[in-house]
Amino acid sequence: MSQTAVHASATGRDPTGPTEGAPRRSPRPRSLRAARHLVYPLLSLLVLAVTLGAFEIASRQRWISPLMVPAPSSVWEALTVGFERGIYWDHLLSTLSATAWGFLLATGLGIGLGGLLAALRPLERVLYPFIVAFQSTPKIALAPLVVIWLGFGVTSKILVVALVTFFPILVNTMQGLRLRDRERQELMVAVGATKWQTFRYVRLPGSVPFVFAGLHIGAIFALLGAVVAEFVGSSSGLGVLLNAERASFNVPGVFAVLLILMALGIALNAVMKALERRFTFWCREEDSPSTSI
Amino acid sequence: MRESAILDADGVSKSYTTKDSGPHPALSNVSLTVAKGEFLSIIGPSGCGKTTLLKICAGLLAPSTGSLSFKKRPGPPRPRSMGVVFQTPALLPWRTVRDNVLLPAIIQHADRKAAEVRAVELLEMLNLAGTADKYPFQLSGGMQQRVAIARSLLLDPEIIFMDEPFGALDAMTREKLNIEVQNVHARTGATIIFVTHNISEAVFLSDRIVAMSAGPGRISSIVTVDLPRPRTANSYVLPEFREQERIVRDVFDTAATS
Repeated sequence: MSQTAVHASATGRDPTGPTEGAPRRSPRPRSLRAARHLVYPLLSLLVLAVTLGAFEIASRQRWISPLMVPAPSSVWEALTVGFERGIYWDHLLSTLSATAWGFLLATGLGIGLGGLLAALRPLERVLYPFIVAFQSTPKIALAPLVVIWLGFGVTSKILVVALVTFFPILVNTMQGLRLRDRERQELMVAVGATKWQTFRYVRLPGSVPFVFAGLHIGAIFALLGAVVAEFVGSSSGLGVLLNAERASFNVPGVFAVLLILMALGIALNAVMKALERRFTFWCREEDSPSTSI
Repeated sequence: MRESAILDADGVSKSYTTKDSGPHPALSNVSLTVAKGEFLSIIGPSGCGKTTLLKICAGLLAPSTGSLSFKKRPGPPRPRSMGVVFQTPALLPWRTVRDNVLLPAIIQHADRKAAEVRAVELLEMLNLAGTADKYPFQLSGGMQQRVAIARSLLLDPEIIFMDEPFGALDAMTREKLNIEVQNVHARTGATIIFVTHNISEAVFLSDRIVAMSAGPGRISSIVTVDLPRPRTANSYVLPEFREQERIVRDVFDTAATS
């Protein structure tokens, strides 16, 4: 369960919470606080600028070979020219759609099977060794096999994505549904809830933070899976393009594709974070899985 | 007293089985009759089984031996006729205050409209007006526990079980909430069984105080509190109150050392 490290404890909660009429932090002039908020982003930008500048100089001065690390300016040029010629769009779309479909497939299967196994303990016990075995296998290593089975098309890419994405979602869903908060269970007994009502009103909503933690990891794995599938064998996608640029020793081109993948990853992460915040805004320490990305 | 009995525990014992040391007796042969409309506190040192006794009375734990009857019917009260307030608020963090208070009505398939009207009344009665659409994490600990009390009152229970509900709160908040619990008792006429280890809280609230002693848990004595109601913040400093407190403290100390 290396991908999850999920551990939520019902202990250590602070039942007092914020006290009534607790004193606020001493007010600071608004402008000063705004300035403090700006300091760290500015420093980050400075680090970026210095690093890029250093590489630019090192590359131009031939301290390092441009074949190893091209000057940032030439990467930027490759990127803009590439977009002008429109060589990225088809590949970008191909990678993105395989990522999305594979992720959706894995989400459906992962949450569905996770729910089923959490509901049927005997079935979980039977299947658990297999889940652990698969969980421990680097799913990426199955990509060549999938290509043999399904060829170089979109289908095999989607399947590889689904394979790597499925397990973190499954395992987290199971963890979340298995969670038993003693007080909430007792409350439900006190109000006369049936087993189904306890599931519907306590365990299901209580699992949402865990499911989202799984989805978050899954989304990152999904992009990884898509690119690896494209390396192994595919006719289009950013991974294919990256391989082609590498084959023609167009190092700035390789870096340009890497930049696009980085942007994709950042965007994906931001979307998942926003969704997570939207659906688990109520989540405090004791209800949350300790995974953080 | 016998005539108006609402809850009757007869020879109730409970032992827990631990892995290494066999059965461990937590409660031994406890008999207790609670009168209808009574405010009864259970006090005692920690580990004396007061929470165990409360949970058995509420039907949340099964006794090892002994029996229980509620309104002359064998067994603990049905969920519909009881309310429970736990040591922690035990609110569902993803539901608003209103939806938390409405939970018993949803579970019991009670009339939703009537429950909503009642929820508004209860929130007002417990000084929670304006918090209906907030989430638990936006409230202080004292307010959360008041929401839990409102939830326990939603279906107008005949009996309410409170298990050290204010143990985690500061003294000021606790005194305020004690006054509110007294109001709840006066206005609803419900029977309340209240577990605490705070002597002045027990004296302030109770008609009768059951003092328990540990090892294994049993009732050591029962003290009747004859102070006039309503008791107010000033009651704490009255000589009669102090005297009652002293009596209970003596009983408590004998219970703790015996």
